[in-house]
Amino acid sequence: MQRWTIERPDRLTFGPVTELTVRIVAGRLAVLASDGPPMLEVSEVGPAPLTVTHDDGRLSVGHGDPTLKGVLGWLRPDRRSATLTLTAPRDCPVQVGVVSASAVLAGFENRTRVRSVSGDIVLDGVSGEISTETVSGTVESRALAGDLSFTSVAGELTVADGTPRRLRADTVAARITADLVLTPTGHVTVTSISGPVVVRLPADVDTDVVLRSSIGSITTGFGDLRCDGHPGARSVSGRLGGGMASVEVTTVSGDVTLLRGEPRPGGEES
Amino acid sequence: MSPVFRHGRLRLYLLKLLEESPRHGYEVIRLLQDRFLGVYSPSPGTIYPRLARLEEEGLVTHEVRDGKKVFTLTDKGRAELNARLDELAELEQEIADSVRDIAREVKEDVRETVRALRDELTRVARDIRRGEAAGRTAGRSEPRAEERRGPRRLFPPITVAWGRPPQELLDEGEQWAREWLRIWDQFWSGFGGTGAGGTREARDDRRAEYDAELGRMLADFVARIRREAAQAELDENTLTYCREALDDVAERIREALRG
Repeated sequence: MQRWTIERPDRLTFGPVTELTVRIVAGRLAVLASDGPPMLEVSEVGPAPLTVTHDDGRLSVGHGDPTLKGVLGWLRPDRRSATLTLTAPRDCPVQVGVVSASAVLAGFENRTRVRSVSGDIVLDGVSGEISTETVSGTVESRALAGDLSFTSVAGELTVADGTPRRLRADTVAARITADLVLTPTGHVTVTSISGPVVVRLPADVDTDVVLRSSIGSITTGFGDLRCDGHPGARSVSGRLGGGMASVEVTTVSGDVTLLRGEPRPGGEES
Repeated sequence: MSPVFRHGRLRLYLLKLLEESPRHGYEVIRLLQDRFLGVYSPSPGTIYPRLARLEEEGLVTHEVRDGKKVFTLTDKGRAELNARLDELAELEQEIADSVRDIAREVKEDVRETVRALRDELTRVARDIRRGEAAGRTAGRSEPRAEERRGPRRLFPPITVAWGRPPQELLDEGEQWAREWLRIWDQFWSGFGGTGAGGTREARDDRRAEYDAELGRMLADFVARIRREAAQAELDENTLTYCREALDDVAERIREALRG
């Protein structure tokens, strides 16, 4: 096992990395997939040093406590800040935990997990199994594919150009915006207490749809859905196209909007 | 990204790549792309003539394997590389800087895309609601959103393509589904017990694997039937028969799922 303690800006290059874990408190973090050599660049660090270990392909970069005991455990009054850029192979599983630091992740294809307390999360071109959990940080994503799970208390979630096989998004009070192309058996479940939910699907989508809201409004751009309106449990449901996929949105007071986009590029056949 | 390669530095970097291992031209191009995360994409028209020039100068040599030229660094090439080690370190620093720039660019770009999407969808949703309100007052209930929308892009352009061109990600249904399932299968089969969780996670992994397999079977089934249906004459009788057959199969599968 190799071990480094980093107290000033530095740059390290590593041998093969098969698993990556990064945990920092404050600052900025970028983790990019690359087929070049795995690399860590530390642009700012302090006052507390950063610990880096590389053990049998497992690379960990972080502040203090190297065990995975949840994010809140290491909320301490000191200011542990770092600005880091990492590159790792695209097939490498990545785990990131931040408290207030912002995190950018791009290009990974395996299992990607990001937890944040208040730090904003940006994801680009990530596929495989992706999960993000945040209290109040926003999650902004583009070109995600695969099995996506988002949990947020108050952090806004946006999925631009997503092609999920499965998407599960849960929030208490945050707005959820998703522009999706569904896979043939895609499964989308969105639940929100008070946050508004806006989902856009291609006009020629093949999916079953159920939209429910206790007191929020339900609006849809697809004319061929059936409305069941009785007070306390209103729902709009129906089948669009061939209906292999499934989309379910449930809110208590959040408004639900299902929009009809343009037909999928590439046409009818699926 | 071109400033990275000013003053003959591309030449230096080519020597470095060939020092790591003998490679063919295509591999060199791909490595350059990867190292710059797809942002710098040298064309074959840039790389092949340069390799030829390096060979004229005696810095590299090539042999033909499987019909492809594989380039190897010569001792003279290695000498030049060793003489320019300082410059190489500097170059690698610049590449690291450019990776940082890429990270910043990705972040700004995604945020811009997301902001545009949010604004656009909010506007469309508002238009639909207005349309519905107007429809109600006019005694109509049809939403009229479609004609109200202004010109817009379906997908914002993806400026950084992570190894695959975006149009391939958006490729048509069947092929796309297969591609995705392939990636998915690879992911699950290639993923050992990395988490600390142990048995529970392993069970979850297997469940997801079975679930993915079921999804794949369903998708294959639908694709196959659609293909065959496209060549057949469908009428009401056939449809009734198909519906009964499907109900029957669904019932049998349900029984199996219930165990």
